[in-house]
This record gives sequence, structure tokens and C-alpha cells, in this order.
Amino acid sequence: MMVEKAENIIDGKTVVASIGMLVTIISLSMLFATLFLSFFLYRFQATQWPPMNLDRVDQFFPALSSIFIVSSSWFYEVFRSKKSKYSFLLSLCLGLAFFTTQFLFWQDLKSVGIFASSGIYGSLIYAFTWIHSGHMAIGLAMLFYLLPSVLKEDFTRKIRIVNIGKFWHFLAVVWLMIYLFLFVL
Amino acid sequence: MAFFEQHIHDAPDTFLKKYIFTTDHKIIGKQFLWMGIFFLGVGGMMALMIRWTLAFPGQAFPVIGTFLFPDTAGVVPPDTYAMLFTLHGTIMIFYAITPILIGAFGNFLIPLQIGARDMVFPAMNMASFWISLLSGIVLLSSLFLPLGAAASGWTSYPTLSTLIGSPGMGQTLWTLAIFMLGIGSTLGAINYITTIITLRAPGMGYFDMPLAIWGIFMTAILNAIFLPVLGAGCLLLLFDRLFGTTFFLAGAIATNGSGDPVLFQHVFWIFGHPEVYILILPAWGIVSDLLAYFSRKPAFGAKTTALCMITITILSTLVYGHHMFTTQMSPLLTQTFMTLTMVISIPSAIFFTNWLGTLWRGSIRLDSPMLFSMGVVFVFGLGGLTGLYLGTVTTDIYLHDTYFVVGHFHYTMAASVLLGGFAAVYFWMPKMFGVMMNECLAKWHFWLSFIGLNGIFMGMMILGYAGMHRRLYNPFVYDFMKRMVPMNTMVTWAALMMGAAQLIFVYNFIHTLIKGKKIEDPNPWKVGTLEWTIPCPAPHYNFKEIPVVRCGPHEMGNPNLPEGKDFQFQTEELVKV
Repeated sequence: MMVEKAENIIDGKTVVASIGMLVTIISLSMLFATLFLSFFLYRFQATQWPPMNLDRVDQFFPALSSIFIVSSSWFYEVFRSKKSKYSFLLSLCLGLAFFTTQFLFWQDLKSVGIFASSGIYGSLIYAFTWIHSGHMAIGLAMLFYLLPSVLKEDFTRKIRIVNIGKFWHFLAVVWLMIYLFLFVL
Repeated sequence: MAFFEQHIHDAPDTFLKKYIFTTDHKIIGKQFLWMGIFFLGVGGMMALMIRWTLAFPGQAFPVIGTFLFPDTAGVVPPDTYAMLFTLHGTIMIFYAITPILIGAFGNFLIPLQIGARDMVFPAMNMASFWISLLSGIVLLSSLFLPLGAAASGWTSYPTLSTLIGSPGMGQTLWTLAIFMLGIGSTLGAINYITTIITLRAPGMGYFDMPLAIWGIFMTAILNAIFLPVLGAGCLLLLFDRLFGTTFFLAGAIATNGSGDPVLFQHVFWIFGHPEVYILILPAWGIVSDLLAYFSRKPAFGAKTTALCMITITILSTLVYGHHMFTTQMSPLLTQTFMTLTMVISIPSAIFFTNWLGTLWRGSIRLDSPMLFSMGVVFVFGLGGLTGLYLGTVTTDIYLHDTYFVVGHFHYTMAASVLLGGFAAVYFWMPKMFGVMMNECLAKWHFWLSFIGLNGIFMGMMILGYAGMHRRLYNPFVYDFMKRMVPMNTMVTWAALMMGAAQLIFVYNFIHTLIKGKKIEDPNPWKVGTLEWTIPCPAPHYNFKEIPVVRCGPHEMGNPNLPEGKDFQFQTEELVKV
């Protein structure tokens, strides 16, 4: 009887943290939805895109970012299901690599003369990547928060691992949408 | 059903742990209450300055005027006037009403009324308060900048709010403050939603929750979904101001690469229309409960009331366009938004009828919380009905941006919410602090406030119907508004009376806290919800044993109850024949 009750307690808490994370993700998706609303409004009001006879931005770094973030998400899932320390480290490194490509991407934009203050095209690209990177920083902080326990091969905080994973995947999905709408289409 | 049982923590021992960095939902609620009352005072003072300027243009504001505006010998200068109405709106909505009804009573009531020991994420709760307070400090600090605070109205439409319209740092700090407050409120909302879903006492279904909790629940859902929308808008505005992006710059997108100022209006009202329901829903819930408690009978159609709250919550997300009828929206869209707006009046009317049904043939006790609740019924009825004229395109084109709008939204958002908040303070005072407020002073407070606010807002609606525009520094320089001076003077005297009435409240509140006699009866109002089954004020762990709920929240006046008893606790089995 006592054992059964103890298990129930863990189950209950799993649901609590998961509901909290779910509501957080809904909130954040509204934030990004608003940004996309603004993007589509500008996109469909403009008679030509990109505006001001600009060239499309070079797709190399955004594509690289997408590869990094998706594989990071994938390795996180491997870590969660197989409980392997190395997949977690790989996932973390790929997350950092995503950041690096973002910085390189901003450098690249500046070298071709697209700044945040040079018209709506630059404004949109910078605003989206800045806000997304801000959230990526929070996500990375969460991964670093997990790091010590993972290095000790302590996988008992299952709920925490799952929830941080949800946040990480959410950011990957948002990036893919940014990549698709801002850079590919 | 509670998903898990919270532990009883040790009582906090140091002052810092107990009153400053506390994770106890009751203390956090009180912190929010103090913050809200402080900002209510600041916002109210600003309102009086606005009113004084409108009634007596060119005359010095009495007493503190010469100190505040030394350059003009006490007269409110035009640019300061714009800052005053901007900050009055912002402070009242985000820093007075939100902390009092959502922050204070949301925090205080949710665990007590659903039978939990604390919120589910106590540390997040603490963060929510401190972020809100910090954002309030940021906003107030903008008053001391060389170019002054934000002055583009509480809606902060571009291009008034971009660098073109307001070059100073004040608008930047305003945007930052609102963004921070958004983070704080969203954290709170996540906490409220999770707590209500997971920590209801065993036996308590959703419809066994008091309606106050229903109101706060719906508010929290709207907050969690729509505050991030405003957050995104604020971020874009911040980027425009700080980094020179062109989101809200008017012009042709394709050739100039400029943005679209109307986008901010869309974003603002996608958030802004739910926001008015965010503010009113907790007050509705509290009033629905109090009407039942003081009529000594079950709330009429309590389940319908809850369902109407859900319906209104959903519909409120679909009607934001009625704030923007004059922005060259296509007629198809305006008519759609108008129809959807009219649809909201159906659940609202059902709701209102339920209130009247609760009062009907009840044995009404006119204690101060009941007076305030009935005040809400009256002012909300008036505010709701005048809303119909503003939701209709044909009349709104004429009434847009007049004092009719100001009167309407003050009736619904200010008068109803304020009266509801006062009702809650008077009602839960024994639970919060273990003392009863003075009843006689409370009644004076009610009647003076009630007459005062009707004088103000009824007067505003008459003025608006006559065509007086809002946000004008001195409207009487225009010929057609010259004859409105006497009416404005009347409104200002009513405002001064209402302001004076709040002094009674402050005196009563402080005096009761210091000198008040501890109540002996832990259940002074004879009400059966869970918070009244424990001592007053509640111990830090709330419930020694998690209660088991066996009946609804307002089981009163049941003829089967034994002699001399007209209510039963929620922990008791429903008495049948």
C-alpha cells in the first residue's frame, strides 16, 4: 500500500511540471505567432520581396543553423531514451554550434550591408533571430543546469529531463519555421 | 482531485524570509495588495490632476501644485498633461487593478478556496511579485527623466510612441516596464492555471470551485495566452526605438522598406480586448460569490455562470477589431467584428440575469461587501449596455475617441473592478489579517464612492455624447465645446468627492490593521467555503489535514438544515430530507 502511494506521488508531480511547461510553451508560441503575424502582414503588403531591390540573404549560415539545431534536438532525444551521457554532450555542443552560426550569420549580414536599421527586411531578420537567440540562451542555460547531474550519470530527475527537452524541441520547431518563411520562401 | 499532497513546511523564522522573500502565497498576496493600493493612490492623484485641468483650466492645482509644477506656478503644463493621462491609464490597469484583483486575491484565494497548502510553484510566485514591483519602479522612475515620462496614451500607438513622436527615454522605459510586467504576470498565470488544475482538494470537481476561482482561472488562461502578444509588440517597439528598426514607420514597404504603424494597433488590441476581460473576470467571480453569500441562498445557475465565463473568455479573443473601426478596415471586417461583439452580450445577459436571480427573494444582508457587490451589479449593467453603442459601427464612428468611450470603459473596468476589489477587501479582511473593518466607515466609503463615480462617469458619457474629445489639454478653446465647462466642473467635483472617499478607506484600513480587535469567530460571515474551515488568520500551512469536499460552495438556506443553521461547510455531506 505504501509503495503504491509513493509511486502515485511521483506520477502526480510529473503531471504538474508538465502542465506548467505546456502552458509556458503555449505562451511562448503566442509570442512567436505575433512575430509571424507581423511578418506576413509586411510580406503581403509589399509588392516585391525582398523590398528595396535587395538581394536575398545568403542561405549558407541559416541552413547550417537548421542542421545544427535539428541534430541537437535529435541527440537530446537519444540521450533521454538511451540515457547516454555522450549524446547529451553532443546535443549541448550542437546547441553552442547553433549560436556560433548565428553570430557568423550576423557578421555575414553586416558584410553585405544589411543592418537592423536598414529597412524592414533587415529589421525582420534581426528581430526574429535576436528574439529566438534570447530564448536559445535560456534553453542552453537549462542544459548547463542539467550538465552536472548528467556527468555523474544520475538520471533520476526524469521529469526535469523531459520538460527541458520539450522546451529545446520547441525552439527547434520555431527556428525551422523562421528558416522556412524568412529565408527559403 | 489533488494530484499530490504538499508537505507542511516549517514556519519561516527570520523577518526577511517571512515578509520579504517569502514563498507563502498569503504573504505574497498581501505584498501585491500593498503594491496595488500604493499605485491606486498614485494613479488616483493623476486622475485628479487631469480633472482639475479640465474643469479649471489655467488655475493652479491646489496644495501640491506649486511644488510639482514650479515653472508654471502650479498649473499643469500641456506636456505634463499628456504624461498624466498616459501614466494614469497605465498605472491603473497594469499596476493597480492587476495587482489587487489578480495578484493579491488570486494568490490569496486560490490555495485557500481549493484546499491546497500553497501554490504549486511557490518560488515562481515570488519571482512574479518581484518582477512586477521592479517594473513598477522602472515606470515611476521615468517621471524623473529630463524629457519626462511616456506621453502617447496608455495604448502607445505609433507613430506617437516611436522616436518621431516621443524622442525621450520615457517611452522606452514605459515599453520596458510593460514588457517586464508581462513576464511577471505570465509567470503568475502559469502558476495559477497549474495550481487550479492539479491541487484541488479531493472531491472538488471544477464546478465545486467557488465562482471567484472560476473568474481567476479564466483570467489566468487569458493572461497566459495574450500577454505574450503584447510582449512581442513591446519588443518590436523597443527595437524600433533602440536599434532603428522600421516596424512601425509609415510608408511604402516595397520601395522605402518602412513598416506599418497600424500593425501595433492590431497587436495591441489582440491583447487589449482580452485584457479588459482579464481585469473584469475576477471581479465578476468574486461578486457572483458574494451575492450568494449575502442573499443566504445558492448562487442562481452557478454552473451556467461558470459556463458563461468560459463563453465570454472564448468570444473575447475574437472581437478585438471593434477598437479599430476608424482605421480604414474593410466593411466586411467591421461588420464581422460588430456581429461577434454583439454576440458577447448573450452570455453577459445570462450572467447578469443569474446575478438578479441570486438576489431574487433572498434574505439579503446589507453588510458592506454586499453593498459593494450590488454596486458592481449596477455599474456593470450600465457599462455593459453603453458598450453596445461602441460595438456598433454606425454609432462608433461618431462616438470614437470621445468622452463617451472614456465613460464606458471606466464604468466597466474602473468602477466595477474597483467596487469588486473593495468588496473583496472588506469580505476577506478577517481572513487576511484576523480583524474586521469598521462597518459604519465602510458604508460611508461605499455611498460616497458610489455617488462620486456615477457623477464622474455619467457626466463623462453625457459630455462624450455632446462631442467632447478625450486627451485634449484645453478643449474649451474650440467653440462647440465652450458650453461644456459647467458639466466638466460637475464631473471634477464628483471626482474630488470620490477621491476624498478613498481617504476614509485608507484610514479605516490602516486603523483596523493597527488598532483592530482580533475577531473571535473564525467564520464571521457564516460562509461554507474551505477557507472558513480554518482559523483566522490562516496558519502558514493553511490546512493541517487536506479537506475532502462533499458539496458545492454556496449551499445556503437549505430547508433541510437543522434548526438555527442556514449554511453548511463544503466538507459536509449535502443535507437531504
